[in-house]
Amino acid sequence: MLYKRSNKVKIKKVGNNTALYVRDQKGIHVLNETALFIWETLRDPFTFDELLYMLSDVFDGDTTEMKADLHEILDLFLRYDLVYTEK
Amino acid sequence: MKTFFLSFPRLNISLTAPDEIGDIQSAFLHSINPDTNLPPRHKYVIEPTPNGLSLLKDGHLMEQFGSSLDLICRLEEDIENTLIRAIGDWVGFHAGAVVIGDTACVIAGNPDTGKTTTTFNLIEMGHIFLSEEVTPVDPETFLVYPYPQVLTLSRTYAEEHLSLYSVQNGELKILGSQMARYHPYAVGLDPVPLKTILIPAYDPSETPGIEKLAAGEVFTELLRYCFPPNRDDEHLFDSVIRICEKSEIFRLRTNSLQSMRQLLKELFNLD
Repeated sequence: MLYKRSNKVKIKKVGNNTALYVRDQKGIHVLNETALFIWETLRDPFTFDELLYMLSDVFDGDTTEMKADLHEILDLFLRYDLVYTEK
Repeated sequence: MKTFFLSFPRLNISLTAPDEIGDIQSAFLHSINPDTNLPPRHKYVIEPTPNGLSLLKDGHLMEQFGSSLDLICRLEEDIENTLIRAIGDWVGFHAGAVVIGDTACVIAGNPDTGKTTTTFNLIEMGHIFLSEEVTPVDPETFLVYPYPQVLTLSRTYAEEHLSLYSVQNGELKILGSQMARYHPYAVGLDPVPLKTILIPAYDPSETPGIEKLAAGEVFTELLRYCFPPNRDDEHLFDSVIRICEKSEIFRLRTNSLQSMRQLLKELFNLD
């Protein structure tokens, strides 16, 4: 299953941070460092395992925790229509 | 009956009230405009009735009241709601504001975190009052517009304050068992450039301190202190981003009345 960026998302800079906004969702989301990395990586569609591999290549830390973080971030991205999945 | 013309940012109204209700004039004192030629957007009329007072807006009965204080509180609330719509594409913060030096300090936050008491203390520390409850900010010019309404405090807070400090820059009246109202003597009548945003956080179990906040970390929190936009959400997001990036933003963690005064002195380099 591939994760793909939604083309409805607008990107805004807030100081040194990045925020994502989807018009229909009536909300805006400021990304933390990990979420920003995943968002930027998703310029091209990737699977969960591919994203996890790239994440662990860039960030230090426990792989189990990293996997949980990635799950959480992708779930949030899906919930707020920032990304969608394609088989 | 007497008619007052009241001017607020982007909003003029007229208010007709019986001569004997002196509280009305005092509640809106700083917004009374001597220029009676400004066409009012809304006309409020207070009429005496056998059971008290009735409040009419543009000829329609809004509500009836047993006391002038209840009526004034309801009128203030309606004017606030009308103002929030009238400010158009400006940002309406749920906040107070004072002038410090030649710039504005906006005090924003959730209810019961110390917004009004911070505004009150800054006025009592010698700063000029600008607004209460609603603070309109133009996101293009970063000017903060005055909305100098009476400050409503809890009776408990007012009594604690009076036991520690004298009240010098306004009149603090205790009304009934719950409420106190503070009428500052001096107000700023012109818009002032925004410099500082304070977010008070009162918690008696916390250690007091000042925390400087970056635009990115405070942006979504500040959005929660804005009234719903009159234009689309994206315009509000862009406006608040610009305001965040332009301002110095601090969280003020206090645990007592004295700690608030101390931190405000520290933050603004006061004696």
